[in-house]
Amino acid sequence: MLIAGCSHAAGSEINGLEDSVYNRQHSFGNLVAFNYGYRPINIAQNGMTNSGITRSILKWIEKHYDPSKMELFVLVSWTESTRIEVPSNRNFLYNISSKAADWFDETSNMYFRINFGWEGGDAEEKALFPYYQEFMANNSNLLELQCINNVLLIQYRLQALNVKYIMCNAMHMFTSNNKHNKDLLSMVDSNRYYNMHNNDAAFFWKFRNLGYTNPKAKYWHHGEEPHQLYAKELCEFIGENKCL
Amino acid sequence: MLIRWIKTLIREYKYRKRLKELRKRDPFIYK
Repeated sequence: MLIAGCSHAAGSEINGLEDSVYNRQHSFGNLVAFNYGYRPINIAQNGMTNSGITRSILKWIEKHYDPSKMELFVLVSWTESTRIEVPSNRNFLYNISSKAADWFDETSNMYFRINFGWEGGDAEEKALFPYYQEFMANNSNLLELQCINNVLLIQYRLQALNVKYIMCNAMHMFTSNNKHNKDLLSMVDSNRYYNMHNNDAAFFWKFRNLGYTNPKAKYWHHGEEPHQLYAKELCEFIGENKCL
Repeated sequence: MLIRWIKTLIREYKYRKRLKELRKRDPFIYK
């Protein structure tokens, strides 16, 4: 079972560490895999963007998927829709912060990853990030549309390969069903996408708002119980919608 | 001139407010 997503899907900080085999094994995606007897291949990366998640799935399929040798089930855990990647000639070595991934998409290292919580480390980042963050803040609807295109790209790619899958949100994804994204969202298969429209039901926000805190975490990532509860929800969704 | 300056201030205020909201939405730090 292929599990793609950001730090939440990687189980980041479950045991206090940014990444570890223990965290991956206790992440909601791996728990779903264990429940169905699949071998988890957790390729989620800390700090991942939705475009990066999309590319990591496509690259893994390109390099490793052989339908004659394996039965594949995919869990896509989408992240915050405003995060962006910017192509760069630098080598970012993001593999260091996702060292326990079962496979690392090296193409990630060719992009600046920009979110709102991080203002940049070195001089180049500190100079660039405010420019892009202003763009992100002023164009969140445009970024949501790009995210829907990513969802559709993966949906149609997996359907074309006859690969079963489910999707869910780890963070805020779609703000509103406005006239621009409405036409695209209607093409997304909601029977394979857990709580597509409900941002309050996204993994991080749901359990954060319920009051769950992880004393081991420095950066607010959840502990074991939310992962267990969310895995149970996903299994129920898989069963109700016959996703397998 | 004054009107343009006020408009810039309003635009800057709205952007800062939006930035604050979005920082709450995605507070995670990755180095």
